[in-house]
Amino acid sequence: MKEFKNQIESCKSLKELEDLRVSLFGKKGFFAGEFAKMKKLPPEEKKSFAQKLNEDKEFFLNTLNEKKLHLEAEAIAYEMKKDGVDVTLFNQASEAGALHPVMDTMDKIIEYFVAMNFSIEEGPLVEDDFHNFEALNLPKYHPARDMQDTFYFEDGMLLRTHTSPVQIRTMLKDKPPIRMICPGAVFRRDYDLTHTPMFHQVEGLVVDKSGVVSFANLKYILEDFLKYMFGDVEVRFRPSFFPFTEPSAEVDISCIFCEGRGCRVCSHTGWLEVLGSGYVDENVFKAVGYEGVSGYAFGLGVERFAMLLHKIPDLRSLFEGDLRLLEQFR
Amino acid sequence: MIFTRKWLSEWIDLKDISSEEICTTLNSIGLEVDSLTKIEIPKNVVVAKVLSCKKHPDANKLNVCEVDLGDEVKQIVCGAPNVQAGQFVAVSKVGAVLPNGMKIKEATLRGVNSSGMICSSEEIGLPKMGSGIMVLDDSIGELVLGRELSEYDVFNDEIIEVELTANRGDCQSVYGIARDLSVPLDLDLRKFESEDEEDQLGIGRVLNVNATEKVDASLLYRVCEQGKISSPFIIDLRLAIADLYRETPLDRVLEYATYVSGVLLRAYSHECFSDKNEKATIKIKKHSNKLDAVFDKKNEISSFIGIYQFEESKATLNDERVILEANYTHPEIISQNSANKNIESDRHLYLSSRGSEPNLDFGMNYLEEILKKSSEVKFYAGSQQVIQNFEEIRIPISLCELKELIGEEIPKNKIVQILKRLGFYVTFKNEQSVINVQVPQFRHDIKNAQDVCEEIVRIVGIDNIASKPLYFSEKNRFNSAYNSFMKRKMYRQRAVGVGFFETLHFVFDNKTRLEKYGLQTVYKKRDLANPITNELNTLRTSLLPNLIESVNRNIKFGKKSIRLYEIGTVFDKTRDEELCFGLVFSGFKEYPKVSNHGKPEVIDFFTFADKISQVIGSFNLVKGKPKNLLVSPYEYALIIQDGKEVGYIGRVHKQIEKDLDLYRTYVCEVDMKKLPFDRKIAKSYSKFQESSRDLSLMIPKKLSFSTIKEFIEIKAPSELVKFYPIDIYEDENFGDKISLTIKFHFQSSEKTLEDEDVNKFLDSTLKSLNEKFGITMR
Repeated sequence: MKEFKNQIESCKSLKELEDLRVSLFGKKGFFAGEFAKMKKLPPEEKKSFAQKLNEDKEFFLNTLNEKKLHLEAEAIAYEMKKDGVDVTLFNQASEAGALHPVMDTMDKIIEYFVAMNFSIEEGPLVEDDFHNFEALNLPKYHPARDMQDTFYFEDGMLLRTHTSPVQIRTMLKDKPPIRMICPGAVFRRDYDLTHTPMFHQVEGLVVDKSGVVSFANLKYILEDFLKYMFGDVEVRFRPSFFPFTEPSAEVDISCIFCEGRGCRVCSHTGWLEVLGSGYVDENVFKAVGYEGVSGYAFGLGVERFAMLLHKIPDLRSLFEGDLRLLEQFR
Repeated sequence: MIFTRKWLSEWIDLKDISSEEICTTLNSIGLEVDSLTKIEIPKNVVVAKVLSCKKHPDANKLNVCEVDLGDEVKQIVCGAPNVQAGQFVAVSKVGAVLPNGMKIKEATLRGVNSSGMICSSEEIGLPKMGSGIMVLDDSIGELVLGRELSEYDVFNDEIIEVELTANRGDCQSVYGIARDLSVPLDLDLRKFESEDEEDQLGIGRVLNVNATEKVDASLLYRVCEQGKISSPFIIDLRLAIADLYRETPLDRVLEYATYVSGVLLRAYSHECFSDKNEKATIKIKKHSNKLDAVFDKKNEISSFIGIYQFEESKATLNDERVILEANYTHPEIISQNSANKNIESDRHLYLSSRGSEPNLDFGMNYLEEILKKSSEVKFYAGSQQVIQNFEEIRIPISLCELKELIGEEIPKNKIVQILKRLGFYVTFKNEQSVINVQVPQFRHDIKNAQDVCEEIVRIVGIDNIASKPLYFSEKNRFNSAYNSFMKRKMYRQRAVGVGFFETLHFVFDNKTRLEKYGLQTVYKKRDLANPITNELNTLRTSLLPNLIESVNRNIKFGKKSIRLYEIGTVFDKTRDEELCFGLVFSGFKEYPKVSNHGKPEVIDFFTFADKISQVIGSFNLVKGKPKNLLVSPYEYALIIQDGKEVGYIGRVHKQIEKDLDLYRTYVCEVDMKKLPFDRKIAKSYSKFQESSRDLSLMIPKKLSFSTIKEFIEIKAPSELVKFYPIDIYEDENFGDKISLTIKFHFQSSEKTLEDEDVNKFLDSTLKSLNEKFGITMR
């Protein structure tokens, strides 16, 4: 009996085990032979003989099954091992592409304002003088027009120098209250290390009947927005001048590179200028025929945000499809 | 505006205020500080006097000077042409280290010993002041030989540069900056008073001003006799710091007085207006171009007021008698009248179009003071004037509205105090919530209540206003622009998932290039009038040229597998805008790696089309003729989605691949608005098993698969759910045929199909294909 046990244990393959099973439990196997012997035994011994034999049979069956499970598991493990690889051979270069950092930043900005219940508005790139300048309190010969070197077309139309004409179009199309942003490409005739003839802006406008929207509200949303974009930064408002807002303010954040101590990026001032904003000038409302309303507006350059957020040193590289830069955003 | 702390201190007392606080305050009131830098003069640079100056025996351009350094006299060789005996100069002694790193040592110059260096302003770290060495005078304080330059106030100063916004004409002067800064700092502005002189002859003897016609300018004239006009060192230095250094002393004094006072000042030669020292007559009238002008005795223009002075009329050091003019014109009149006139202008136009200082007396008196201080001049008593009425602007301010605008209440007394300090004249009744404000003449930018509000806000400090959230009504804001944003985003992300990189390119292109590629161009009458460069001289009419250029650039950087896309605006020939989606794939299908044994295959038409379908969804391709020369006519197809043409796909033309050294490159351009962005509708589907069969057919080479496809579709039973080609095989033995393997999928909605059902369908399909096209089984 012990010998059988050893035989089972020493089986090295499922085939060997199957052969052994047949030799033990088959029709001509060991146990068939033993049970045949029973016929010759006296009746009083039959019972105990059978009982013993059944017990042995069950014992070996169990042992055999256990061994079978074991060998099966071994066989699977062997198969797996055969297929095994050196996982460290994996090449980290993913086949995926990437969103452009400027467009990705624009998405983030849009998502904030959508969550704050602003609508998105769009307008044409080719604009006329009224929507781009005149209605925005930039009459002809206004010195502030110098600030925006404009691309003109032969027929007097122009490429919008900011997304503000979309505000004018929206005010002409809708009635207050208005709560909108206009993201998009804008154009200025300027091309050097820090200027490209095309860049992207997101501007916002909130208008309601007089007395509802205050300068304090403008401060609230811009502070919240800048913290959403840049994390825990300090926000500073400086009075400034834009023809379409009055009072106007430029908004700075404490430098995210040196935490306000002063570095090359912030020209050692500790502050980074990121936004222009203000209370909408009454002449803008006059131009669109609104009365008894007030509101705020703000605008930002998306490239500047993207460059600050991702420490991108060269503005022009953003428009060259340069994979050395883009691959880093996978 | 560039000025220094000490310069500003001449108008307000800054002794208890740090420079950092000055800058913070300037920023908070809207005068943005660009930089704050300290003047640093190196050690061992001292005041010295040139005792004698002789030509170097062996060098024409060098002088050998005996120089008194206070405790010793040294011999110094100097190459500056302006060195003279008697001058007070700055000498870098032996041992000094100059800002450029130069160490001063004992030296021998062509055999002559030299112990030190007589310095120019640049050599000791100051801006350039004329040419040659820097000559000092006592305008910086008592000149003590041997004293370190850095001990003098003027060299121990800080330079502040402020960026002015276009509305703040009133801050274009040192005085104007001081005036604005005095308000938040609560400091008194120094009053400027001129002293009357005795024994002066009246101006009436020498000048008559003739202004019979109506003009817009206000003018004030004075006359002086000059001995020798010189400009003191401190004025020269400050002008150099402000980048306004001028060639002649008279120009420097005029520039300085204008820069400090903000009043536009000119000097005319008396002779231009009179014959032989007789009484001069200045004629002021409108030129035919509407501009106010000064005319001389020959009735020729001497100057356009506030814009330009002609060289011939300018006073020089040779003129015994000089006419001085202070002028002012409202900036809006100047801007309007001077626009598009194509006339010459000088710095005065920049100042006058933004708003110069209207207080002419102040400017003239200040000029008189500095002239008298440094030069031998004798003024005639009194002045001749042409003064325009100043239109007073009165604005009622409702305190209620002010509160609503700012979002918090500022106490009435504080408002009144701020406005008064800013020079506004304020009246109000105690019980009323309205105050009446009269705007000072120098604040051209203030026209309405909002402008006045800004004044209050900037002095209070925006940072001191508490932020508050806005309460508003909810509103559904999902409009078509939002939908378009979400749609773009979905396609952008899909393209990224398939391995494309998003790019941005300018919406410009080069007209010649577009024409070469056979693309449309914007009509000449609607094209760009002032392009920035020739390379970008028109609008793009396709995204692909820019994308292909970027592929070329990336190949130069050594990239071997380049996949780019852009979603952006393109223009048609009438300049109408359209949003397009352009994709390009060049070179290897994959990056080299273990799974492709380091030998990735090069992109091909079918792989590219497959990638495009992963981005834009399933489509059919039909043959077509390219509308441009950008793509090869042999690997080109129109993309059809839901029966509509949405764009095209193709291989870049071999000529362009060659010219730009491209790898095998495929492009696709589709119209964004034609791509689907709607909900999918689920169709009912059969629960019974599907069976499929592959059939290899011998088909004529010239027969397009689309023809076979259309034919099968017409003949096919409803149980044929789909079929598509999976392999093509060519062999010389096939003659003018090729082997095409098609996979057929069958499924019934009523039962599981038996083999014989499927075979029956296939047999009948084959039979009709054979009858129609002579197609057989391989």
